[in-house]
Amino acid sequence: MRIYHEVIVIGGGWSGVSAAIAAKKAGADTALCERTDMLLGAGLVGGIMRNNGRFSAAEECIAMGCGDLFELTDSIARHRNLDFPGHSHASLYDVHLAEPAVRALLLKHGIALYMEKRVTRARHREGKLIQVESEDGYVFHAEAFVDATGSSGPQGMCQRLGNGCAACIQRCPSFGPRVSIARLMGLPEYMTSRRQDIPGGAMSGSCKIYKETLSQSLREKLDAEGVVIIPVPQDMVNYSKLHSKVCQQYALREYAESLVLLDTGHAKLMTSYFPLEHLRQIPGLENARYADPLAGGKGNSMRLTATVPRDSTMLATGAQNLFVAGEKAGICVGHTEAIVTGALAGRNAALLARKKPLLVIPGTLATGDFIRFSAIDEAGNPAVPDGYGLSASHAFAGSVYFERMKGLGLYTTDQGLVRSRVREAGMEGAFCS
Amino acid sequence: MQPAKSLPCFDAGSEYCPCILAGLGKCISCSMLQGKDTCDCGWNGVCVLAEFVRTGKQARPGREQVTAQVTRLTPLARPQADYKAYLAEIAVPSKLARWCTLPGSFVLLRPEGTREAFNVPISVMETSQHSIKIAVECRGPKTTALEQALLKHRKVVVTGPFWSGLQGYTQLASLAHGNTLVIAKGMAQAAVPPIARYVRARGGNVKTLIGPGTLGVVFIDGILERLGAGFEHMPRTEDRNLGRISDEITTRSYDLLVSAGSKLQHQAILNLLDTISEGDNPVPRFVWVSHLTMVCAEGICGSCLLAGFRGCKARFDESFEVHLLH
Repeated sequence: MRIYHEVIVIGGGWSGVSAAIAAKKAGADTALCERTDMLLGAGLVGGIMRNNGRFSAAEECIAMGCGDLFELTDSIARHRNLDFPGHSHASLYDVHLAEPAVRALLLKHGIALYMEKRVTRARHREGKLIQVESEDGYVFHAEAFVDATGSSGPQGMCQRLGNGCAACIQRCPSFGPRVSIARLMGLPEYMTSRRQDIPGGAMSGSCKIYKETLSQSLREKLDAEGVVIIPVPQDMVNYSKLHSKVCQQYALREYAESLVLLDTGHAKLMTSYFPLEHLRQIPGLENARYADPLAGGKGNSMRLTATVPRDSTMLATGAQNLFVAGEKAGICVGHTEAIVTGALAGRNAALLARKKPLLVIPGTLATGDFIRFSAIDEAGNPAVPDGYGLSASHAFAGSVYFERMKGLGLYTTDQGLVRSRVREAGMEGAFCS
Repeated sequence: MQPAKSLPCFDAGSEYCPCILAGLGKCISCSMLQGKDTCDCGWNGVCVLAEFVRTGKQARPGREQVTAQVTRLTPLARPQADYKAYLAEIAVPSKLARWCTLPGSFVLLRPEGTREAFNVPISVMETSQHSIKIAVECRGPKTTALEQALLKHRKVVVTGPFWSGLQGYTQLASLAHGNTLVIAKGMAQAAVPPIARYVRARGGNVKTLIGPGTLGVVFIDGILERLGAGFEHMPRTEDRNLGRISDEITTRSYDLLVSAGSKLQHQAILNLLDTISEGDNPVPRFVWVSHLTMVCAEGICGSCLLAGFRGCKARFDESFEVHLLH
């Protein structure tokens, strides 16, 4: 079957969904291809929004007109203005409600959804992507494409770089692992080089426990307060796991010395994995069972294995019409980061399809600075001289980028100040039409 | 004990799996691909049969070959030798460099314009984003041809990455946070830095007893120092230092013992461990450097056969398999 849309987004995680909405808002006939039977990818088990610098970034997006997904997650938040170690004013969305709500939003916008369409082939010429094909024979033509296929897995990467497949929400064995569109085009792709002892990659930083399996008192406390911190017995403390985490903003000593549980609908345990037998020795968790990964006692998904060089419009280096978003676009982790990079990639794909000049978010805004700062060049080096490139995870919520954000005065929780900054940058409502 | 029919494979889960052996019904891991009805496979953490079906029952291509520039070439000072040895840095694509980080990583090197019969398996000592560092001793016809290419053209053909240069990798992964003793001799020193880096990154301690062997020099002490890994030189002795090694094992507690040397050395150390264990003393788990016999490294030629398995693919991780070395 042959299908045409002006913009085709491949990958329905937070970044792909954001790209599709932004492309549609820019006026393009837009479709989204997703490998599995649900949208949101790792966002199906995510939940954390608005912590630290993510608050400023979310408010910037709302002021620029690409805040639909932040408003959606605000509307299904279980807890707001929550503090936990190293993080302030977080909100936690209900992971069980997010996917249907996002799907409904996309359909309301008139975006065509192609579910269980795993794209495995691409036809391209001189950097121009002409068509992509799904495993089951659908052929998709477009003027511009967004590669939002992420950087996690495939299962083999989890085996070689991590502790093996832990049966995570990505469900590679069921739907087939992700396939990078950039790679199908022969564009360079890099893994994070944070660690010198393995080739690359980093492990997802949290597992989720069925709340029903917690003790009643622990469950009630978590429901009421949103966060519960339980000290880990000294002989079970494993600092080396911090070293391997995707999310450096949660790679703090507190997260090894304590169990940090957040209420996202599941009890989100802020550690990559924790042996079940040990977990069950901790009061309140005697009957605990993992919801994600199903083998959360053993390991977690490996990520940051497929980052593509690009410019500040999100156009992949060496490509004429392929934009990249989310973890594909840099060592940038988190839903907020995915939504920000996705929105710009989607809008620019639509602008390119309509032969209009591409948009760059000015560096006077946190979102614009983040996009410029987190890019890598064709050789895999930081695209900016003071950048960290592949050697660090970038997130508005912590680690090196939050420090930079604070240093530049871009971090604020003053919504009025954010709006005036966006206005001064000439970006107010820039994503609306 | 019934001999194993299937073993885990170094390449499973990589972009090189399923390989040509799967297409020929000779996969070393998958019993179903060998024509059996049951899944008594050498479980790799990923299903080779599922991958084979997903690829349309096609083998994936093997390793790429790249012609690479030698950016630095340093002769090793060997006052009493009639053949030479070099340290070299080779510029390679970043993907190849990154995937040579793991302990046991090696590449095949040969002069440009020669047949694959000239391939020499060489351990990767260190990597950076766009280069690998290797050591080579130029003694036989293949390495002499390689020496000429290094000196004259400063170019070599690099095939890789391969990971089967270290047997017992699972034991290394599970015990790297503990105490590791490495016995390294001669050229096999080159395999030690990635092991030391891996152990140190996991918070473990590593001590290397280094003998110059017939090579006559020690060239990894600087790297080990940088990694915070302990080392001690072993002068050549009549008992091939077995007394010294025995003292080290029995007076300190080691979780792992890595033999980086010839097959003779592996056998001598295994015999030593047997003797020590007879006295009910705890012995470390044995890990050994294994790439020296490889030629094609893709499971075809059979030069590295060990107990009927292709050593370039098969992971021998359990102790009973170690004794096949005897």
